[in-house]
Amino acid sequence: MTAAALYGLYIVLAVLAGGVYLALPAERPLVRRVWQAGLIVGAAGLVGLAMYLAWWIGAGFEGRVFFVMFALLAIAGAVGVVTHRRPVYSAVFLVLVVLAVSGLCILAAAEFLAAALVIVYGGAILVTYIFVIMLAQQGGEASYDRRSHEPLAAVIMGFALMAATTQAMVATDPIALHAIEARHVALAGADAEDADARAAESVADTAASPSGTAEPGNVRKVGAVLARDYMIAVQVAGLLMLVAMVGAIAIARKKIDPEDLTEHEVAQLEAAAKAEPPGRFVEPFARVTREHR
Amino acid sequence: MSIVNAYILVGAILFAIGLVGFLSRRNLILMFLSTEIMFQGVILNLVGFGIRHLDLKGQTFALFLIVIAAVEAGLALGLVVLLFRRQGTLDAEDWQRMKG
Repeated sequence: MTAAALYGLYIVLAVLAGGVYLALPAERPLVRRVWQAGLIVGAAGLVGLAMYLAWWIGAGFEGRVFFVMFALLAIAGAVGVVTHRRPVYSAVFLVLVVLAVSGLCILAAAEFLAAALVIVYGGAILVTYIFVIMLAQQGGEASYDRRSHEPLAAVIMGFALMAATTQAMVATDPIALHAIEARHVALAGADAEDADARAAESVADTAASPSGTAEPGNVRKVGAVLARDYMIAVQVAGLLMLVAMVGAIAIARKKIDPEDLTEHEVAQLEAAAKAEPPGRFVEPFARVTREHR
Repeated sequence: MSIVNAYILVGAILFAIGLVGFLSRRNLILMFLSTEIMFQGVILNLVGFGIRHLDLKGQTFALFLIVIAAVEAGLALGLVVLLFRRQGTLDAEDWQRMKG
């Protein structure tokens, strides 16, 4: 990769960062116009990034068009999450990001991961988020959603992080590739020795698989890796979820000392004490007269 | 260059956007939504390195990452609900005294 290409990438990333900065919520004059300008600048950055990615990947990869498409969807969705003024829309944009990322995973032959992403993120985590947003924020746009906290500093820091990552990736690339080639050669040598064992194993896999395909699918392979190499990690993950569940219940049921009450809680308790009970008040043993009917 | 670098680049961009959102938004729920975007970036990174090393460890690790993300969402949203009940607002700047 030449230095000119690297600087081109920096320019594209800087344009994208500028678009994010303009689109971030802030109280400034002509806020609508600035937001539209951010949209245009961000779109320009995305188009530049698309062309850059297409050139970078090269025609050797079959799914190049799909890769660029999913990457753009993911990045545009992420910008939407970060910049939208209504939290519910942000959550819906996150669904878009998850779907695009699972598309990228399918392009990388990680079908099980893609399915797990859609099920767990789109099905469970997103519903939790939307549930909490509905619970906590029913009044539409809030004042703290119209203003951000130091947007310029945050965008500059994000851009610096991107630039450093890209630089590191480009700088270490040849070394890493050489190391990996050497490792593959070593692996190929090792493979020749226990090729018979592997062949027997794959025959057993084929016999056991219901579809009878010669090559075990992605789900079978990932399941085998999980069960063989990472069994303890799977158990620890289950334990972690149990601990988190207990912790979440404990947090939600937490009782607060009367002395530690915040002003908001005191006000709410007083309002509840003052409020009239709902419904018409009738004395318990009042005689029913014509007026009551 | 190769497809692996494209995966890592897209993952890094997602991570940076999530970081910007986490640093600049003031809504507590949106801060945690931004962390989810950072998780997506890391997942793409793991998948990309999995292609590079031609094995399944990247995908397997991404599965564990999903477990962590689910746990984090559950606990963080429980805390957010607790904070909202106490203060009546989701503004992160109203909790500045927690900085110490």
